[in-house]
Amino acid sequence: MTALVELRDVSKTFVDGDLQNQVLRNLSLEIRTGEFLAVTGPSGAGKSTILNLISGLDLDYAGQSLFLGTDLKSMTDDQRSHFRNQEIGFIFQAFHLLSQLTVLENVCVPAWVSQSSIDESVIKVRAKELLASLGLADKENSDVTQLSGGERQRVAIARAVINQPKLVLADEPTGNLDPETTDSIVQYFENIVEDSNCSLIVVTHDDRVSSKAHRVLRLMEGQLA
Amino acid sequence: MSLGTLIRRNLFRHQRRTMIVATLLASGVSGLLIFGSFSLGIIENVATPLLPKLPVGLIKIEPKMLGFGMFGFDSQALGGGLDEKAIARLEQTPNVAAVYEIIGAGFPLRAQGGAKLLGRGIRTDIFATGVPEELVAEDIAEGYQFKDPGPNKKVIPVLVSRRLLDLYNTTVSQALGQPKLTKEALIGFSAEIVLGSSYVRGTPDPSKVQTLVGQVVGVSDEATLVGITVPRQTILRWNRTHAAGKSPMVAAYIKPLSAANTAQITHQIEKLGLKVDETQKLISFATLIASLVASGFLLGFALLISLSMAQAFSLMINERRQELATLRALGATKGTLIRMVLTESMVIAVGSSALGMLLGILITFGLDAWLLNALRESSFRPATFIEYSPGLLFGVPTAGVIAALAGALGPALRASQSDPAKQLRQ
Repeated sequence: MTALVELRDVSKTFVDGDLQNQVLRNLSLEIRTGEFLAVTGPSGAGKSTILNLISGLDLDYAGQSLFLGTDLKSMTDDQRSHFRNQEIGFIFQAFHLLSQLTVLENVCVPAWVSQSSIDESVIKVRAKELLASLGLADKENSDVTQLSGGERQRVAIARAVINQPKLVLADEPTGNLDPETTDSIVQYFENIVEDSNCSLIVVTHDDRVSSKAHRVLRLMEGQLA
Repeated sequence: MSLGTLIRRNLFRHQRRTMIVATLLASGVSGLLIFGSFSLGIIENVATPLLPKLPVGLIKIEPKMLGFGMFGFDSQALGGGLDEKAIARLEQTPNVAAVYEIIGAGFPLRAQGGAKLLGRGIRTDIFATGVPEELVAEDIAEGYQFKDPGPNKKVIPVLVSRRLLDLYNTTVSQALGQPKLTKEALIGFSAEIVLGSSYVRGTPDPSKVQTLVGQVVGVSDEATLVGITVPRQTILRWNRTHAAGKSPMVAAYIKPLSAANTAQITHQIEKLGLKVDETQKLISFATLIASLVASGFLLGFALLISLSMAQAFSLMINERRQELATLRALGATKGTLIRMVLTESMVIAVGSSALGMLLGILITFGLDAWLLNALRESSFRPATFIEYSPGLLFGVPTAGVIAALAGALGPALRASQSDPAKQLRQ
């Protein structure tokens, strides 16, 4: 059976003037559908870089990054954008919500940029359902800058899954949250994986998160420990 | 909700910067409209009436003068001037549609009369030219004819110079304390013409003196400045009687096949040793300079708008680099980002251009009223200093929008090319 995501012999080096920093060395791994994977390791070990390679945001590496058997480098830029929009959901440590939009509008952004033929009202209904399932039904018209960290991250989760992706990538999603909120976010992650059978890769330092994962990968000096 | 919501919110989020860019653009558009409408108005309503109105596409040729110190000689006397051979050569010049000869009177003549029109009678020597009827057909007043009446008629149709009328109205009428003359007042006016007699040169042969009546039938740019212009057949007939058949050719008009051929034909004429009317050359030169100045202003204006838009959008995009990277991560294509930034600039450009046009129109009307009031005593005061052509009203806002889009294009492309992975790491 084809893996959802496969990294084959991937190496990545950051170059800054004369300085070279190899963060990934001949890394290979597979992620299956419905898997909740945690990636841990010290800062600078290349955890976030893995997410960028899997999503096709970063193409400057050696080796191959495949999604359902297709090499991301073989796609055109527009195809990769479409792939990210339809197959990938992103959750960031800094949330990266658009401050000029309301909560509901932020959740709808991936549907807007896809410019699909799906009716606007259908998108809106789905966004409202997601917000309700995340306990934000009464916040849909709120200004995102008025929300707490936990609430913002829940908005980001709703935005990540609005297009029903096959894979959600979360980069330190609980890094700015207190333990109690972290627990609730992890619970939402578990629900996403169980309810929609999508895969989840979480880059984290937090044991509360990694302890709930199906599998934990520890990166050390660019390789799996 | 759609990308339009995002664009609208972006514009409102950066209200201060949006207002600065919009103000700059509106100022530029209104400035260009003011410049354009006054340029057109001054050319149309001030400069043109003061200059001889040479019809577009007609080239006037005069005999070349040879100068020796204070003396000038018509080169025709030396065999190199405007004659039948020269006319034949001109007719064979490429891209020439027609050649019209202007014949001068080869004998003295004078005129007297005008008391009814001018308040006092005038006696003066005059010069006369004869022109083909088809050259001046458009200048003949309704109900009148410009044809040789034959030897048995006393009333001769004459044309007077439009420039002479303008000169009279701008200088002579004031000096004489007389009201200004309109073209309509001149039509039908009659005065005596005495052929074969001059106040200065005397009367060479009293037996041939002939008194006729000249009646004004039109005002023309092709009429001679210092006398009267009659049909070509009339002057040829007069020359047969009073100048032993000698008919000096004083000028010729060339009609090019197209106005675009004017420069090439002018060059050919000068190669033939003939002289193109200096006034026309001066007007062509002045028009060229005015066009260059106007083009320079337009280019400068467009560059200014483009640069200010580029600067403003660069700043906006710099502030929004993480937001744009987020949109890329969420699946926006490069094309979507370019369209988004360009649509934002288009909204600003269209709104600002409309505002600039409105402001420009209000300011031009205000300035026009102020100038007209300030110059109410001047004889050069036109009815208005401004003119709006469809090209100006359509071209100015279009130039504003295009310049704004050109300015926003660079930042839009940079926004689409930035590395989202790098931006999201920061």
